[in-house]
Amino acid sequence: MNRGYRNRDNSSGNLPARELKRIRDYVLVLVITCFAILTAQLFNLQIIQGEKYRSLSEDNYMRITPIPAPRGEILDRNGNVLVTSRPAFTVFYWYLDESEATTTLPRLADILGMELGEIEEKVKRYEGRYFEPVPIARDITPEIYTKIAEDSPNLPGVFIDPQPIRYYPQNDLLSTTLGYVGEITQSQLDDPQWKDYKMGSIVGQQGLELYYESILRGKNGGYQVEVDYRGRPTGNVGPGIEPEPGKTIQLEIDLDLQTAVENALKSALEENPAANGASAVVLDVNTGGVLAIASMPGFDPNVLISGISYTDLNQKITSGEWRFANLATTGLYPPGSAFKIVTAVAALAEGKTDPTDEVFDPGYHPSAPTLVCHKRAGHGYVNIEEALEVSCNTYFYEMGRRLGVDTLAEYCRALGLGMKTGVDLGGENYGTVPSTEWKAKAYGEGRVAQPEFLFSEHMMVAMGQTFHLYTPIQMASVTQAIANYGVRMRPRLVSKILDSEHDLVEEILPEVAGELQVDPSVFDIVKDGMLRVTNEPGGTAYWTFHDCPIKVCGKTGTAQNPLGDDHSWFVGFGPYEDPEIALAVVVDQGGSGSSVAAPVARQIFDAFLAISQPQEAE
Amino acid sequence: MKRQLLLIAVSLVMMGLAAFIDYRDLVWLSPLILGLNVLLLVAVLFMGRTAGGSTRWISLGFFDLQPSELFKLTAILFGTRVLCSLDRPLDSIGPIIAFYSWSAIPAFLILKQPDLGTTLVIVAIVTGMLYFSGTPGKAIFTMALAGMIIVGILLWLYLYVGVPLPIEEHWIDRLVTGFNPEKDPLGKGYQVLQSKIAIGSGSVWGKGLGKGTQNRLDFIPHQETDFIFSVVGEELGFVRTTVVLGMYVLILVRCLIAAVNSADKEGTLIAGGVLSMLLFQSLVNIGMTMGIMPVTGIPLPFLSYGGTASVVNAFAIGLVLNVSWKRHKILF
Repeated sequence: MNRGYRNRDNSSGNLPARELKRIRDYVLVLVITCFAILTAQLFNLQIIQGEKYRSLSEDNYMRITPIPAPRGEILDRNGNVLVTSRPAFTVFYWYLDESEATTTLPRLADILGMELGEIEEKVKRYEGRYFEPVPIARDITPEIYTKIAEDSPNLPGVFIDPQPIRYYPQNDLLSTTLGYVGEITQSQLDDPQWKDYKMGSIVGQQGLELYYESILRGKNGGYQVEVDYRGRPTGNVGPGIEPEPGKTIQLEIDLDLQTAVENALKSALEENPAANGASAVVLDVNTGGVLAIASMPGFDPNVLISGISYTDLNQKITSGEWRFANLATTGLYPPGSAFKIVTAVAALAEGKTDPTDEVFDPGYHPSAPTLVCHKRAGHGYVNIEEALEVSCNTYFYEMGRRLGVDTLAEYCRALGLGMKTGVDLGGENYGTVPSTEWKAKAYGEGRVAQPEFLFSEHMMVAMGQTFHLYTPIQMASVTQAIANYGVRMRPRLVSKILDSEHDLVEEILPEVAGELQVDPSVFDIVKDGMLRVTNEPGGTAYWTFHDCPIKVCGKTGTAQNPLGDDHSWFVGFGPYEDPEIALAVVVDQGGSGSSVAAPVARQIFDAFLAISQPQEAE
Repeated sequence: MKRQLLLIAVSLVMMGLAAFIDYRDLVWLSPLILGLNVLLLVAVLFMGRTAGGSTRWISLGFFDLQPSELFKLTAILFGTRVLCSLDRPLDSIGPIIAFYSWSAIPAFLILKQPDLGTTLVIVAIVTGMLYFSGTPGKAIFTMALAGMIIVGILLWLYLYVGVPLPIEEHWIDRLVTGFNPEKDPLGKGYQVLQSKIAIGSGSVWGKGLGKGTQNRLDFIPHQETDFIFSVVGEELGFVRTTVVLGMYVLILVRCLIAAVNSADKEGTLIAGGVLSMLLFQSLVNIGMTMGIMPVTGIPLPFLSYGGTASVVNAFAIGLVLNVSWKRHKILF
């Protein structure tokens, strides 16, 4: 069969032409079929599915980088800026891959002076969404900016972008009420209320920033950035959507008054080192507008926002330098003698007493000799106005005996105690209004104390001791209601919503929160009693207020605190003739109401006079 | 760039050389060429340069020689010599298998590099030449079927019995994911999926030369070698890519004309061998980039980057030109 290849001169005989023709036809069909299939698939991919693949290819290389909407500002009643935004350099990290991260992140941590673990944790939160840049550090200093820029070849994926950062020009002023902003937390992300937000969003975390989040936040814009297959931005930028700025809110707060309130509280705290914080709330008697609200100590939101390390933050909190809780709305204190104004209203309204009715005070209550008055020698015969003036315990024990705790509790609730005042700040505490029902529940089975309301307890609650727990804003609200003849206005921080150009969008009008409908003479009598506190030489706040240019109605309180020193209270309003402001001041473990809280209140009234009559001050 | 120009110049010289020498001299010398080529393949085993997990190249300093690419030409020449020494076409299974046997050792050496693609090209060349030598299509078909069964048995032995055979796991993976890249888009299916996105996003008119985002931003792996067609599709679009496909058809038809019009059997077999090589490579490569062929690592003739391949393809075209110019009969 095999004859071997002949040689190179003799060509081998080819197949017959017919055979070659057949081969030609078959091969031609094969070639054409093969390429027809290829062309068909090309048509399928490029024409039929072209749109789909084009958008896939764009998804591949176009990333949306958000342009955060400028957050709305917060202004005081006169337009002074309390919160605004300023541009700040933010360090972002675009995760590329693990091997790069293990060399880049320690380097970055070194430059930023951050813990490596902290950065890794931030990056880890973005797992599965690495097409988004991870914000690592906000508001870096120019030195760090330079260092990162110089080291950029060794920091793949790291870039710096100017982003608006929240700025609080008054620093720690009003801090617990204004709150602060921060990166959205995982638990917020899991909450359907925050479903519009993306990881890394900066949102309000406390106070007004949180309560008015939906108004302050705008609508984020974004621009398209081209990236390569590893997600590295190439520097080419596509079209963008302009962000929609958030709305500005204007507060009832008066910056000057607020400053005076905080300074007064600050010096009270300095003079009483044993004191554990202080709070004051100043309300507009007629509208319920919150003119000042303070909780000391607060914190510096600027320091907090630009990235404070965990250890520094911890140190500030444990040392007591910073406190985030807003004592005005969350701090629960026994009101002590400041509560006597409520008992006075109840006793008069119920007809249990009147100004002609005198009670003899031998220094204790004759029916319960263990219930003593603070003046051991006794005040002798006192009527209701004198009892308020000297803060006679025996008189109010007697009122408690006559009223009973449950009637008193009705008046407490009617004046807004034991419930949220409705101030536009989240996280308000309810407090406790004692009643027989309440005690049966709280001291029921299995408790040591008796669930029945004791005879002496009925008397004790009437002078503000035992079981009562109220927030400073509740006490301010009660005082406002008494000054306003029983009409309690909802404490209101925000009065206006403005657009980014500060043009009015919406006005928030005063609202009546509740009304105690009793004979107006009831309030006149209580007011007269409260006036005596500051204007009669025997008044508990006389020496603080005797030279005050306006007539102030007040009541001091020195609430016994089973856990430490007494809480120092002052509630009051003024001017007497036509009340404009009502306030409550409490110094946590500050001692006596007359010597600590009353002088703070005096400074507040002086500051109020200075702002309300600037011409006269000259 | 300089290297590219140099390569084009060398390729053109090789094409000219192939077109003007007597191809029958090469056929006559082919046993010697085969011997040298096998020696080179053995040399690769000991001193080969490794890239991308396979050892295919012998470094010559200025140039990396790829003996497996050369073997495509060697197979065409030696196959021609063997087939021309026969009285009549092979038409029964036994002799056909015997005919394949000479390519078994080099094919095994290439498979071991590992280079499944080139091995398959060799099989395709030899089979095509068998058809051009007059072996009935039916016999070839039967044999192909038998071949597939044998491959199936070998795979079974490897996967389920554990017989150690030179099979790379990723060949099997590729065979599976090549057709269904969406199944594992970031893993084994990544290349093909990105390639399909590239081609598909080219739409009617393409993104323009050098403007293919898939290409420029390195989304397509091996975009200058095996996946060059993705770039063509993305940047040129359907209309112009069809023209590119048409050019391949044109080259293949010219090879076919040269084969059937050849004055001698050597010419028919050489042109037929070249045709088989080009058809198989372009079909599998282009099909692979569009997800209708498995990923086997076969370069696209004339477009893929690769020095030896360029020279080999140019030489092959030279041979076809040579055959074409020597034609006597006219069938078209």
